[in-house]
Amino acid sequence: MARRILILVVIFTTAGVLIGPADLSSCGPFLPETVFTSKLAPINEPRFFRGQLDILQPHYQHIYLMAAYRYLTGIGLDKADQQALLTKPTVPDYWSDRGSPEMQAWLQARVQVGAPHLDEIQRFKYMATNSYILNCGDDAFRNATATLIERGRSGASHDDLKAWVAAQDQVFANCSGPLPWAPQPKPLGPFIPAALPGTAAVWMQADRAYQIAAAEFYADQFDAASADFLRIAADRSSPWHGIAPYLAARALIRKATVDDAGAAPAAQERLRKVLADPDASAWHESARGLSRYLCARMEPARAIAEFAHTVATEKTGVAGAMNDYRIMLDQYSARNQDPPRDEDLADWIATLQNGPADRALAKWRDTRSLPWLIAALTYADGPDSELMAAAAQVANGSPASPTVEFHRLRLMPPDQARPLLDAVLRRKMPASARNLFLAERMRVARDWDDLLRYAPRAATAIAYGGFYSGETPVSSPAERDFDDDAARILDHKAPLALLRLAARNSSLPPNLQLQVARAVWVRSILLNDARAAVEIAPVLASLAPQLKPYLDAYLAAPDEKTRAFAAAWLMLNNPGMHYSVDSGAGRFTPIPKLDPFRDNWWCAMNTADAARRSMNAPLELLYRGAAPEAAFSTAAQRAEALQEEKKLAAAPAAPTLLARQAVAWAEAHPDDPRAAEALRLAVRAGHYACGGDGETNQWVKRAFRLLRSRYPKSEAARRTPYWFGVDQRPR
Amino acid sequence: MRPHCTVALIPLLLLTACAHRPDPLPGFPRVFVWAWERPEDLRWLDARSVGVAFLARTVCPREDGVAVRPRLQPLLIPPNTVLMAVVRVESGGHAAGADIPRTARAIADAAALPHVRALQVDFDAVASERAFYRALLEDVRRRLPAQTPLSITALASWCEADGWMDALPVAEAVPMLFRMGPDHYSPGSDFRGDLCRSSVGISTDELPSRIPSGRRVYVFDPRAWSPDHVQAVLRKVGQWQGAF
Repeated sequence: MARRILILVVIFTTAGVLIGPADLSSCGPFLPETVFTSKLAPINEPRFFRGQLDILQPHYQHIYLMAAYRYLTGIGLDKADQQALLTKPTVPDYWSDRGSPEMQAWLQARVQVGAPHLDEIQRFKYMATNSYILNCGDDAFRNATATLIERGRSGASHDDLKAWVAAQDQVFANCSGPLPWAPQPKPLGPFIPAALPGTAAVWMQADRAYQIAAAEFYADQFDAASADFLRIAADRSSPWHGIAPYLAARALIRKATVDDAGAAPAAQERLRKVLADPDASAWHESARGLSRYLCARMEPARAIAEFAHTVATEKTGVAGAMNDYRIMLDQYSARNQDPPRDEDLADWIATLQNGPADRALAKWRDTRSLPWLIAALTYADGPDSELMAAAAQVANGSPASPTVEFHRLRLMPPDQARPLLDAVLRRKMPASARNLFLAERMRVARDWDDLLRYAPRAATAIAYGGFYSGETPVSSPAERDFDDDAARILDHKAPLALLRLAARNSSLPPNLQLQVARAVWVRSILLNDARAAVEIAPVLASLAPQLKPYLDAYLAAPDEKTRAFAAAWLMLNNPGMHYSVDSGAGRFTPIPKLDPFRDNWWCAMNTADAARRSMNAPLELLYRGAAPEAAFSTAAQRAEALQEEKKLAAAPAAPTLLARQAVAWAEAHPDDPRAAEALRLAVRAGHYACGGDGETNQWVKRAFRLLRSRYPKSEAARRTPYWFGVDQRPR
Repeated sequence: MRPHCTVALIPLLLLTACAHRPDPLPGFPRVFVWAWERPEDLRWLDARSVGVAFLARTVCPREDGVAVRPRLQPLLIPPNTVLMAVVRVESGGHAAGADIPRTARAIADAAALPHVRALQVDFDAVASERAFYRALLEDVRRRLPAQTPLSITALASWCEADGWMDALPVAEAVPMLFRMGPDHYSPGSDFRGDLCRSSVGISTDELPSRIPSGRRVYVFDPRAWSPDHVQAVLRKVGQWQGAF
């Protein structure tokens, strides 16, 4: 049985290694971060696009702010638009050197009629702008394949099909144009199929006319292509006459965008004719999109204003305009430019994202509209009576209600806000909104118990930083965690005495009690408060049973030095011991294991840094740059917390403390069987600790030398051929 | 100066000369802006003092071939700009089994783009991909004209404790002093390994307080380049060089 399990383990491990994740990035590491309330996009997109805006975040991406504006102004989104916005565009795999499936299908189809084998068709054309354009898209290959099959089924002769493919090969030979690095074909092109005589089959003549126009299009002969497509449009017998007017417009659009901007008006005129023709309804949606595209390329200032107007006013069919407007806003942003703000929507988005407060307030006073009420409330730092009265009038059930309520309560005096927040929290709501209301309630806590009651929050998503950032929703989090606000208070504003109470507080789930108990014990050691360390040890042991043997040894130590070594021994063997609590899920590695990203023991505390560091953006809506405080703390408690923080900041870095203790113990008790291992672990701490201080190298080096000189044949010495300085270089 | 003093100074002068590695890209500008995949209009650039290292393509070695994503965004530059084509390699974890000759050809082809005078490869190879990367660079080097310098970007850790880049067939390795994650750069310190001692890569939003002297500087801007940003970088580079 054991053998079978072993074989299965080996098979799965090997498979795991061989298969590998499909999208492994070589950048990084991008470590998971817990998201309690999303900053950039709603966690539940379908809900948001249905108009359930929850607490609107000013830094949401543009598309969500557009949707919010429409709901706040009463227009909303119909089901088709909601669905369109939820549909993520797929990017075809144009890049493979073996071609996309559509290209491959064409390459195979042409071989069936005797055409010579081709590996691929270069589909990108190099431009004078040091870049490429996609000249032949997948639709072209799909259409060629389908037409060839259709002509074969219709009884065309083998010779006709062969000639048809030869002409089509000429069409696609224009896709790339001359490539700078490749041997140049002779001739260089363009490659335009010859017209067929009137004696050829009618279908062959019609197809050839289309092939000629297509070849001209890909060979940048846009005027000729447009004229030829119009001729095809006029030929009612051609199977291509329906699509031809649309393609004539496309030829002029391509001319306008890559060759001569002066062709744009003619291209727009062609598109207007397509849109006016009821027989061309199959191409209307695409023509509308092209019209917006052309306008965006040629007259960006006019286009962005038009898109904003469309997004803000059109009742239906706005998803395309919303996406185009989003792209244009992103482009302005990429160019470090402010987009025009003439339209109310544009002004609202810019103000909601960046303020300032007086503009938001002035606009609200001018318009008295819900979008501007939200903007004004978002930036309000005091309870403007007029604004608060307007906020109180917003009906429950309005898409603005949760946002307005959140800010109204934020601006109220704590005694007034508290019962109202309690009532809000009794309601059902998504976790992302609840987390912010919990934070708001915690901010006005009356006492320590009250604060701890509202500190735990449920994760709503996991985010990964870096270039590939995205958020993966968490539907039912296994545990609740601290967010930045609670972690800051526990780490910087709570004296040991209060932390000891927190470790036993039943409002905290066991995982958070453990975090606090661990912090209390390590702090007690660093602050030389043996009484506190002894008192918390049984609590910590019950929450983390793997620490119990070490804690029992600590409690049983007969004297101060033995106790100091017992504490160091515990920490040397448990790199997850540190004196702060985690914001979010925190350290993923179990306490006894080394974290591969050096989240081991504690980092040097920089109190100035900690005070300056801003919290996550949703919490900043509440705290607005100020540090979270336990407002109810007494002056004595604050002074005590400050004093302890100063002592912790002055305490040695983890590897210094641990190496010093290991060396002291080994020198005093050379025969203790733990001595060599303690030295080894101290050297290891020098390598993997979060950071060191000015004495780290000196103490780690001493531990290393003592290990190698006094215990040269020990397993510990064998496993320690080098020591590493704080710069991570081996010695 | 008396003759015996002059004679005594000769070994010292020789030592000083030996201490500085010759410029691996002689005649190239001392500052390059990285033009990544976004529309960039740099026609205002002073081409005499600043070169352009532009993302020319992204090459993804796969088990069944190579995917090549060419640059799709326009890059406008003044005449006579010194152009360096940058090829980003995205392995997706498949480098070990990838086809080295096809990947090398896809990379080396970028050096044939018009007006390109040097090639830079940007690949954050993980430890298990280093053998592949070494073989790939050797193949790329063979395919390039002799006068075309081959540059690579390097994680700072490659230039520190790690000697895996020794004897790579490249003119320089550019240590990237931004988005470093757990790595860090201590201003004033220098890198090990000759390859890492002729240039640095920095970002406008994470400018270090100092860099080692005499380095060619490659600069990334997370947003589109503007004259103000380039001027600010040039001022900073001037301060750095003046500080040493």
